[in-house]
Amino acid sequence: MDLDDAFRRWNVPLFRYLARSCGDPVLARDAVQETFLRLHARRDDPPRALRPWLFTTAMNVVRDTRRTEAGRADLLRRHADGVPGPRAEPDPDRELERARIRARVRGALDQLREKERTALLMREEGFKQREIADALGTTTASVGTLVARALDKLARTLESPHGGLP
Amino acid sequence: MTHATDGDLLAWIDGDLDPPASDAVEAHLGECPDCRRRRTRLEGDARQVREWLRRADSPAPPPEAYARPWRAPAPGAGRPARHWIRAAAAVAALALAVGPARAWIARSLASNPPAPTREAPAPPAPAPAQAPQATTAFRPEGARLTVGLGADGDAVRIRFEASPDDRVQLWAPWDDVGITVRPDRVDLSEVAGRSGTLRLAVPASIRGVTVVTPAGARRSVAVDADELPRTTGPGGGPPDAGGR
Repeated sequence: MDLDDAFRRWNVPLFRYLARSCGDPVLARDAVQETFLRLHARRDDPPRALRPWLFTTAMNVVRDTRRTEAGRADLLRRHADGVPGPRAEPDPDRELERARIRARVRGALDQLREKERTALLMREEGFKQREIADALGTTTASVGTLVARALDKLARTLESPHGGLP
Repeated sequence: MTHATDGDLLAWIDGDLDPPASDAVEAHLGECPDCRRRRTRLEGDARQVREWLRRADSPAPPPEAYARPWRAPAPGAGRPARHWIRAAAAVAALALAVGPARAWIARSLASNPPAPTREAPAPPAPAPAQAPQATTAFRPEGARLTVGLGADGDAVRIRFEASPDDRVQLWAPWDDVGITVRPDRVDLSEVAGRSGTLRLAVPASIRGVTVVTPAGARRSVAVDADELPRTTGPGGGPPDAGGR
């Protein structure tokens, strides 16, 4: 297994999926980092299906982190709006608009049930219904229903004038 | 066939059906206006949602933001830098993980930005331990580092020469030691009587890391299990191997 190749191919989709799923780009970046370090640690025994392993492991990292953070809230001071970095938008008007869109979409995603959100976001990353069903422990037929329901809820919420705003 | 389910329609839209099933859905769509309307609505919803998600996406961190210990060292990697401490070098965000379960504690320093960098260099802050001190400095080049501590050190300072966007992750094997995070360093206190291994994941963009411990304290510094080329500061002899 070429770890650098795997990193180049999957670090951006993995970050995008995690950031969309948990709404916290800092946590998403940490989880991507930890996931690839875990992959590195088992380089002599690589997972057979790399992509599902990466996404499942990363989501477990996010869940574990959140559980820990719940008991250590005093240590948390999260950067509220995106990962600081060279690609940060310097234009305050555009940045404000982007923050507004993020809040709106975040609010809409948060209204979904977790399985609906996971099924929808995995589909966005190109997972097949069978793979999503395996990840959720359900049937392919249920996946179709979950995704369709999630799309319907999101589209309705985001269409409305104040939709998705917290 | 009876009406297509939402799952059938989505799978057909995604090309996720085997040929016979795909043909059956397609044939049904040709003769069922209700299912055609549902297909159109699903496609429209999916397009709209995808566009919203894309507009709301946070920019992905550049590859340099990650530690990639599997990479071969860059030419010149491991050469000690001449100046390890620069005034106001900052680590904008530092994630710590402590405790036997290696659970993560994330801590952002973004709300506590570093001092301006164009001022005259400030003298290096004293390490928390009593003098004399031993220092080990190295250029990490994006790696997973380990610092092994013997039982005779009571304080450790790890300084970073970094830019404001860098993030360092630190794992400590204890959850009840004092940990103080500053923009350019992290101090661990009350580690006397403990031995163990600190691990750091640092992005390639971090230019230097300096580990300060009391002189004589047993310690080792390694990158991904390999001993690093390093410099040893005044007052400290060569760091001991082992001590983990």
